[in-house]
Amino acid sequence: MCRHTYKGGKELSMGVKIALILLVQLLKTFLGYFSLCPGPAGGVLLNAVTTGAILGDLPTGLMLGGTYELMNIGLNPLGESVVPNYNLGSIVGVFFAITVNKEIGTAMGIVVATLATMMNTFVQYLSLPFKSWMEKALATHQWKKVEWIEFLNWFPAFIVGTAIPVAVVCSLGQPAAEAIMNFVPEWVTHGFSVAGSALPALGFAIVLRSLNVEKNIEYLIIGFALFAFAGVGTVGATLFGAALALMKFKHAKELKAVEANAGFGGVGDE
Amino acid sequence: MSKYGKLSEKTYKKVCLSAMADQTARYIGGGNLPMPTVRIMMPALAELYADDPDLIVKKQMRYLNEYFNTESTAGDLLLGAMVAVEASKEPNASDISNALKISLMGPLAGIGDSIFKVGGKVIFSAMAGYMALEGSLLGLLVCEIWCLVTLACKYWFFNLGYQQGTNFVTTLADQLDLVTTTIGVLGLVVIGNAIPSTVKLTTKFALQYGESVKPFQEILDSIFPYLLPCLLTYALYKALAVKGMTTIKLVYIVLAAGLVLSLLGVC
Repeated sequence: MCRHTYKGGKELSMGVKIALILLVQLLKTFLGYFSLCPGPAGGVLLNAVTTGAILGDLPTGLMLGGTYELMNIGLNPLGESVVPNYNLGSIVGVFFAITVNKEIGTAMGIVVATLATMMNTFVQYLSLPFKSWMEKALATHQWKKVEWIEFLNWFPAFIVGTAIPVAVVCSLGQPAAEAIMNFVPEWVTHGFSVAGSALPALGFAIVLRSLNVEKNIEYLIIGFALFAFAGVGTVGATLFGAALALMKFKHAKELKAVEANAGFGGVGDE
Repeated sequence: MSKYGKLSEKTYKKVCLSAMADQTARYIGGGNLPMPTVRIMMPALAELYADDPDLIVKKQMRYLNEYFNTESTAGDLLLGAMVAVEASKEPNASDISNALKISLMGPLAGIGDSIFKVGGKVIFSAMAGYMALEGSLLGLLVCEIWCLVTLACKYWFFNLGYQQGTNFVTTLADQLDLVTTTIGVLGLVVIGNAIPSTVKLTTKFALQYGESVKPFQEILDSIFPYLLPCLLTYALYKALAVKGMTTIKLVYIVLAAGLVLSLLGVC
C-alpha cells in the first residue's frame, strides 16, 4: 500500500525511516502521557503498525504486532515485578521482519524485549536529578518551574529507554541480523517462531493468576467453548462476558443489600 | 465563595486538568508518584497560601518525600479529596491529607488495577491482538476509545473526590469493590476465548502403523480440540507458582523449549 506511494518519488533512506519511527514514538509517549493514545492496551500493536507503515509493509506490522500484543497481555509492571518490554520489542521485531525476514524479526523482537529489562534499574535512576531540581525550585519559590520540571521528567527515560536502543539496534543490527541468518540453521529460526506462537499462553497464564481463576473456572470454560465448539471470536465472547458480568454484578449487589438489611435487623432486635 | 470552595474556578480547572495527566508515565522513571502529586497540588497551594510561601514549601516537601503509590485512574478520586482537604485551609490540613493518602492508596490501587490495568487491558489487548492477526485495524481503534473512556473517568473521579469529600471516597471504594469482582468474569471469558483462538501450537509428530502414517495432531484433535494450547497454558500457570520463578525466566524456558522441540522435529 505505502510502497506504491514511495515508488513514484524518491525512496526514503533507512536513516530517515528510523528517524520517523522515533518521531512517532516521541509523539506516542507524549500523547500517552495525557491518555490520548493507546498505552497499556494496544500500545504494543500501535508501535508495530506505525513501524510497519513507515517501512512500507503494514500487513507484516499487523501480523507481528498482534502476536506481540497477545504476548504482552498479562504483563503489568505493577509493584516491583520486572516484565519483558514488548513496546520496544515490537518496534525492533517488525523492523527486522521487514528488512531481513519474518523469522529473524519475531526472534529479535522477543530477545530485545527480554534484554531490555536489564536497563530498567538504570532508567529508574534518571528521575533522581529531577527530584533535586524540584526541591531547589520549591526552596526558591519558583512555582511554575516546579510544574514544568515534573512535566519534563519523562523525556530522559524516553531517550535512554526507547530512542537510543531503537536507533542503535535498527541501524547497526541489520548486517549482524543478515550474517546470523546465513549461518544459523533452519531449526533455530523455526524454534523461535514456535516459541513465538507459544508465548501468548504465558501472558494468559499470568492474567489467570490475577483473575483468581480457580474460584471462577466456569467462565473460562464458557469462553473456551464459545471458540472451540461454536467459532465465536473475541467480539462475540466480550459480549457474552459482559452479559455474564452484569448478571453477576446484579446478583452481588442484591446479596449485599440483603446482608445490609439483615445487619440492621440484628441491631433492631437487641 | 465559588462552587469550588476556597479555590477560584480558574485554578480548580487547572488543577483538575493537571491531575488528568497520566501518572503511570512516571513508572518508566521509577514509580514515583510524589512528584506528580506536587505538580497537581502546586497551582492550588500557590493560590491558597499566596501570603505564606514558606508554608507552601513545607507542605510540598512533605508530599515530595513521603511514599505514595497507587493506580493513576482510581487514584484521581484520592487526589481530588486531598486537594479538597488542602483547600479547606485547616491548620492541620496536610496531616489529614497525608493520612488520607496512606489509608486509601492501597484499596484504590487494588480497585484501579483490576478495572483499568488488568481487566481493561485483558479485554482490549485480546481484542486488538486477535483482530490484528485477522488483518484488521479495528481493534486498535477500540483501544483508542478505551483510552478516552479512561480519560473521562479521570475527570469524573477527580471532580467526585473534590466535591464529595473524604467520606464519600471511602464509601465509593467499598462499592467499587463489587465492580472489581465482576469485571474478572468478563476477563475470564475473554481469556478462555483467546487461548484456543490465538495460541497456535500444533505438532508435526506422526505415528507410523506399518505402511500408513497418521499425524499425531489429528489424534489429539479427535480427543479434544485445542488440547495443546490448553495444556501449555495450564503448565505455565502452574510454573508461575514455582518458588523463585519470574516472568523473564519463563520466557527463556519457553524459548529454549521451542528450540529443542524444533530440533527434534516435534513442532
